[in-house]
Amino acid sequence: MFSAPIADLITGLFSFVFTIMIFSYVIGDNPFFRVAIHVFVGLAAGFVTLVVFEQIFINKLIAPMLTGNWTQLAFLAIPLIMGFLLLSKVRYQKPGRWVVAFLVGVGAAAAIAGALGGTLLPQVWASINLFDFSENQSANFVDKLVEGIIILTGTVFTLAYFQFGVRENATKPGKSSVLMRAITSIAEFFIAITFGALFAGVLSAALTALVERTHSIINFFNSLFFQ
Amino acid sequence: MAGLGSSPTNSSQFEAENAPDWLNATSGEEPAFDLASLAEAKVESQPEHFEPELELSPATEASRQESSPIASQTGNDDSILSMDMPDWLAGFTSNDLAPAKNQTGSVGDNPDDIAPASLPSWVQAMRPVEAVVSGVGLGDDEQFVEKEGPLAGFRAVIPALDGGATTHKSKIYPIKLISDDIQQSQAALLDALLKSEGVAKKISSKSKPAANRISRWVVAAVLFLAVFIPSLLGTQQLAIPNESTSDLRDFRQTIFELNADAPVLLVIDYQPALAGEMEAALSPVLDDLMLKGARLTFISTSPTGSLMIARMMEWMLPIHSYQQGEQYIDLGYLPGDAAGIQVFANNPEQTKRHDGMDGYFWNSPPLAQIQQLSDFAALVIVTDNPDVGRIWIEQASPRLAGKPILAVISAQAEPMLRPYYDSGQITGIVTGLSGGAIYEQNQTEQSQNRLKLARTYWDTYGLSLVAIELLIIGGSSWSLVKGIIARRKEKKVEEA
Repeated sequence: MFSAPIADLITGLFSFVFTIMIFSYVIGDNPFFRVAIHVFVGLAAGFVTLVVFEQIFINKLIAPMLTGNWTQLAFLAIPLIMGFLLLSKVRYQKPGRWVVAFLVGVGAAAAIAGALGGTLLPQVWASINLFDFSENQSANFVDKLVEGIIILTGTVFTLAYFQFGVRENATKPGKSSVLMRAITSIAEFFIAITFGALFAGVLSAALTALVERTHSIINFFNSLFFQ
Repeated sequence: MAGLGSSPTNSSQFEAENAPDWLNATSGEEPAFDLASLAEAKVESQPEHFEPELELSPATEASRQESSPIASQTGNDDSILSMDMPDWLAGFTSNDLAPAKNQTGSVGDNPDDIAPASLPSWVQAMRPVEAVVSGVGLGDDEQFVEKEGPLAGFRAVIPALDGGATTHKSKIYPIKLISDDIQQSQAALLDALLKSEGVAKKISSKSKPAANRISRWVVAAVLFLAVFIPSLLGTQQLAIPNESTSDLRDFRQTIFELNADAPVLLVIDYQPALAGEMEAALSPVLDDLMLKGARLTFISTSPTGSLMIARMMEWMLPIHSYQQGEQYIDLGYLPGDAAGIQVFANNPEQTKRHDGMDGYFWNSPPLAQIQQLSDFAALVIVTDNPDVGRIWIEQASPRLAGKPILAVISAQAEPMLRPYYDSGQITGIVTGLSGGAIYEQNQTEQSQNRLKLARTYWDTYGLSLVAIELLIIGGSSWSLVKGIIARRKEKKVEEA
């Protein structure tokens, strides 16, 4: 339809215009920003619909129906019926309930099983093995020891920070012990460092996005006027 | 009145004839206390205008006589009273009554001379009604004379309350609380609190102070200038660290150890918003993989993943002679989140079997000899989302049979995913722009003419990061100074 340079020009122009429209939010909410956001949301929704139609309906339903044998067709009926029941939830609540229950059950089971085997146990095991130097004799013992102590302290104290239960008796009702308060104070230090690291990460990612956009605008003008 | 006066006489005559022997034996004796005559005397002392009130209907009179035959038997009164007589009646004889008779004879002449009847204490105690109706005060004409029983002849022992008696209001006791000033003020405070609960408060729209807007513009202007000027100049003056971190070193080592045409699965799970950072980190990795001739298979759990893959390959294809379906393939969108990944990890061929209406995926060269996940030489997770990275590690690692998992991640995901490297679940990590830049810096001579996206952004990134740091330091200092000044002002006001 368009030659490559024209297509690049149009693409670059759209990219430039919409980037400026989004940047205009710096001066406050304005119609340009809102138009850009609405266009983006609509475009994203349309694209997702197309992807789902192609990747799910065609690839996983229609194509197997056309090419599969009777057994495969019978198995395809199950997700088809469940899909229709789920769709009926838009108007009628009851028929789709057990499909939602199935989705929630399967999703939760997969997530919990994965978390247990892939995160909880390996992470706990790694924390326990911090002081196992048998496999790493050549490494600097002191460095490893200090690192292990810091990581272990941070892990245990941060977990203890989220222990909100208190011991209650007649003289001191509902108060944490002195030891727990001390642990909580140390844990706050570790948590503050974690928040700082998270903030720095988010800031760095956003700044890189800004840098990439600025380079994109400059490249557009370069290609328009200097090449 | 005649009726009342004559009835005892008549009845005594009648009963004398019909009385049993034991009564007749007592009838000849002189009664110790003639109640009938006493009653007669009392009745005579009553004013004449009281008569209508005491007149009884014939039926009532008959019933009264019938119900109390003893009352009409004057001759028996003495014998009855002598049997169970209270102290105050003991020794009360007819002789004692004689002067009373004389007195009653003179009552009619001068009623004021009548001495008030002195009731014994036990009779007074039987008059609780008097306490209630004490205020009513019955006149002499309203007093009722008892005509029967041991109280026969007594007046106003039980006040006549035949419906005409008026009741009075019960006393009103004061309900004022005795409380001191503190209690009063606390009660007023509680009352105000309770009243304020029911009153809807107006939510005042928070007006942004002009200083905030100006500071926002200043920050934005500084940031844009810090980004725009180095980008415009295209400087590449800031140095990139030569020394790799251990995670990056391990990553590169794993890539170099791959065979020439090793099949590699790449999970592209990042949003378009962070494409700049992710492409800068991913491009040198792809560059190395393509240099080695690895067969690349892409998949994504994000619907926009395919777009990102296409965009990335647009950058890479002019440099490397790769063709879709020959050296690389995009399996597309993988739905189902954790469950979908688990199914794919268990049986990749069954999960992503069809490529639209075109046919079967797994005959293509990039997927040749791939039956299960462990057939891939390595799994590379490219994501800006720590949760997505975590789910892939959790679900895929048990099915990889020791094959390495590598991660190309955004800087914002690093704090959450680094523990997986420390625990050995991930073999190596390239983090954000800095990781990409260091990776590029350490690439071999063979790849010197490659994309170098991270190097292009490096100066701008570095200078703008310095600008942000200065802004944060400047803002914090300004806030500190402002706080100190405000505190001093407050102190001065307090001292004044």
